[in-house]
Amino acid sequence: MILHIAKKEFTEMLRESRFQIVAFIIAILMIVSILISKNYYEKIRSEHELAMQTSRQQWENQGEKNPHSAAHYGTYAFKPIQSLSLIDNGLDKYLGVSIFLEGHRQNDAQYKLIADQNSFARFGEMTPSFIMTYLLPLLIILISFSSLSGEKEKGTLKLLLSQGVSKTSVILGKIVGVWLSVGLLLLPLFLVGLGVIFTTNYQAEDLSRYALIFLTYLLYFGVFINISVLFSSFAKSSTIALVGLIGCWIVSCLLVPKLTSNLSKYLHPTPSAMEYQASLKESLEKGLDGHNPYNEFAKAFQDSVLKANQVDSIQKLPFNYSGLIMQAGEEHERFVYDKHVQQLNNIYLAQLQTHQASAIFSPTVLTKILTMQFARTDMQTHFHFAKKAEDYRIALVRQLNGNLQNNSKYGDWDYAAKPDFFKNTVKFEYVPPSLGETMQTAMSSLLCLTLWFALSLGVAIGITTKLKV
Amino acid sequence: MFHILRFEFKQLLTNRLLWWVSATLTVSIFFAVYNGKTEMTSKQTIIKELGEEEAKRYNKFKLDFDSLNAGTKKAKLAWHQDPRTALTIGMFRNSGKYAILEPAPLSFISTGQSDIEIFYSKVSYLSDILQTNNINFENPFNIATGQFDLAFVLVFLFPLLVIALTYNILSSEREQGTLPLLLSQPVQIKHWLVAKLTFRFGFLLLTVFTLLLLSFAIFSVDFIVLGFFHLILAITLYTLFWFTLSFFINLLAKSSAVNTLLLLATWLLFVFIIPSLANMMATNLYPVPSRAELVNAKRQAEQETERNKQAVLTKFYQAHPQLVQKAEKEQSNEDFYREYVTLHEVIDEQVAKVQQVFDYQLEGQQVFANQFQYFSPAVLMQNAFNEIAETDSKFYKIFQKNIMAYQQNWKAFFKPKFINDEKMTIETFAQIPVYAPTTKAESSFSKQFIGLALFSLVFGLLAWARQTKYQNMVA
Repeated sequence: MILHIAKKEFTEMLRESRFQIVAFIIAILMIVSILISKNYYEKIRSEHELAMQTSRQQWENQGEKNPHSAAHYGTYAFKPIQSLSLIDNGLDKYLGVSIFLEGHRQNDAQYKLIADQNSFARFGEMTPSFIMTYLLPLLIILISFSSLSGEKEKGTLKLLLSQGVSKTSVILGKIVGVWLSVGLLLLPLFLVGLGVIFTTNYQAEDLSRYALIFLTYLLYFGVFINISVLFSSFAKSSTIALVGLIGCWIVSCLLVPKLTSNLSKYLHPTPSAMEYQASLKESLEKGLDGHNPYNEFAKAFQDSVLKANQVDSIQKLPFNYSGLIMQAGEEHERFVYDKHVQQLNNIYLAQLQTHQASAIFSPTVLTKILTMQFARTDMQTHFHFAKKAEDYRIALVRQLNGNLQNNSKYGDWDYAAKPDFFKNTVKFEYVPPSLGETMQTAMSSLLCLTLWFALSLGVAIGITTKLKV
Repeated sequence: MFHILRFEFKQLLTNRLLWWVSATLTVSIFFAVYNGKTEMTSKQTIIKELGEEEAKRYNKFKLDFDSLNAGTKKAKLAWHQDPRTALTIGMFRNSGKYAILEPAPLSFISTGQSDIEIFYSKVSYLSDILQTNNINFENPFNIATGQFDLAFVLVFLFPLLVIALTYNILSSEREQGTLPLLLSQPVQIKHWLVAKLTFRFGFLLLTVFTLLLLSFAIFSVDFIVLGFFHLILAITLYTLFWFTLSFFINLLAKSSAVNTLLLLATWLLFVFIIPSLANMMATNLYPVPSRAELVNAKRQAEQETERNKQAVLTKFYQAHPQLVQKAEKEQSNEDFYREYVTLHEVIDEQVAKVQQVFDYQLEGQQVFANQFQYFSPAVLMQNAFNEIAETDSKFYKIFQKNIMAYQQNWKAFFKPKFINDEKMTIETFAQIPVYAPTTKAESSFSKQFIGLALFSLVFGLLAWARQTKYQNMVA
């Protein structure tokens, strides 16, 4: 029986011009947006590859140089663009693209695209994820707001029930019917997306990630379908159902995310850059400074080194003491920076959790968080990149200080490493987090979204069956 | 005519929807103003702290300077902390004064670009003034989501309230069967509709203005500025646009349900679809130049200067015959920094050339993208708000130029001291350049206002053309 109703619903919807027009518009927008995204992806990818190469070449060809001068001279790490960013570019625009790696300092990623765009960019961008997150729910509302209320208004619902059809079958039939119509639009879009991903420089894992993104969207659409049918069943008229549903959309897509944005900052205040720098400076001064021999920690360190090597002055050490103390300073600095960056990141994550909690009112927030996590365009992936770049910086600086320590005499700042040395220093190859790692962070949101789906379905069936016709 | 208005008023008071509209508006406006004000206060606190920090730093310099000169204090300072050297005051880590962009009186009405752009910078000889230590801390997820500010309430939510109050003015009469009754009255239907709309227009505006004034007063915002008048004008024009649109849709003589759909679709189009589509077009038809390339191009310029180091230095020593180039081992700190400054000047010149090309392309991109604003009244309104709040990217770009000009002053002041190894004196301490904006950014919203007025005009004319037809249709 459910299938009969679904089939009838499906055929009816297909015949309706409102479905045809809106589905057509969405399909066109989607295809245009995927192609444009793909174009953009290729541009950024080639720029990134060129930048990586050039930057490495510049590093390798710096000629004869003191290794510590080279550490100050520094090099760059560029963040690669993910294949799936052409589906959801997540926070890419809002995060920096390059990190300057130098001795003594851990720098933040620089150059956010958003800062190079004008106020227009703040309105959002017509990406595939924008269409899926904001526009498709509207299509769902449009085709299902009158699914039950329409039958009530025409009196056909009574007729149907008098035939002995259970209310559960009616509502399930309606839900399946909407799914069929939505599916008819989604299936080709899914395939187009898949096709475009095949043309990119994708990894095998990206395909499972793509499937997960789609699963997220299906759950999300499921929530909207359930709620739409629910509203349609108890609203007094189709118009009221429509207005109520649009209201839900506005609350979920617009109001709650923006409200939470401010709320999250009241709950977990972000420190100002000034406070942050001040506390960083304070912590740095509480430890070894490789450049300042008068620093008390440096003195203590020197004494312990002399003792261990059983000599009475640093000149008598079998290696260049500068390289050693520089490295010791570096390790202290790294520890301090890591601690501070971690604290700041934790505040951001706590704010993100506030957004996650706001999912009680907004399945949209959950969907956004999930798809950007699966597309690896989220904040956690960025932290991961920054962490790897920092690990690389430390490895590189260690090599440089090691070279200084083992190949030169103390006080000989004219020492220059051979050009070949720089060619053989470690290279930065970024491996983004694996699906397993992503799943760990994404699991709770995925469960919440599934819960949303199950609950909305349950409520829709529960309330409709109790309704008097 | 007066009758219509009186009855309209009575009718409105009994309208449940109206109470909902007012309640929503009240809560939203108060929350938005509170958020904006909090943000503004925290910025002002930071600015105050910056001033204190700077004063503390330079007072310490001054104290050390005086005591060292008077000989009352034993020189226990490392050479790079000695305030008698210009290098300490003008170049090293503790040197530098702040260039600050004070928030405009009405900056709380729109976040604009304020959450991604710097509003202060410590300027010293070598500081990378646009980057280091100046990152505004803001969660990227929050930036992407956007703030709940007054601009959001008025640009996004307010039109929905207009729609809620106007979608069924005519259609409800027909649906209730009272339209023939109305037509039999000695008042023309168009006058009746215009009167009804005008009344609701006035009522809504009055409510908004009252709420704004109330919230400004409660959160003690200083709003007696010219900007407030512009704000009122912007809101009036934007509201007018949505009313003319509704006027037109009402005259299409469709059912209430269809009216709702049409109005919401238009809202969606102007607020969501056109801006995001235009944004996508602008970024792809005229891409923002690559920052990654810029980074490397700057590096390239640095490396080239480094390679020509000797040539640059020879030229320098020729121009300053009183100075002699020493071997690196024999150089004093002053000798070292003299050469350092000389080389850096050349590097800066090269880098500036690369940066100039980039900035030129970027400006072209922004001008191109900006043209799209005329496709949507929502974007026009948002931009007008950013202009009034002085949080548009324009203001930050000009600020950045001003900082750079300030750094040039700073360099011009200290360079001769570095080169000639001049010591600081009581006089020179007083002469250290302070930040004063060279270009003042002016708010310009006439384009946006004209755009908004044109939108109203177009829909007004459409409605006018439609009403003759409507008259015939119902008659």
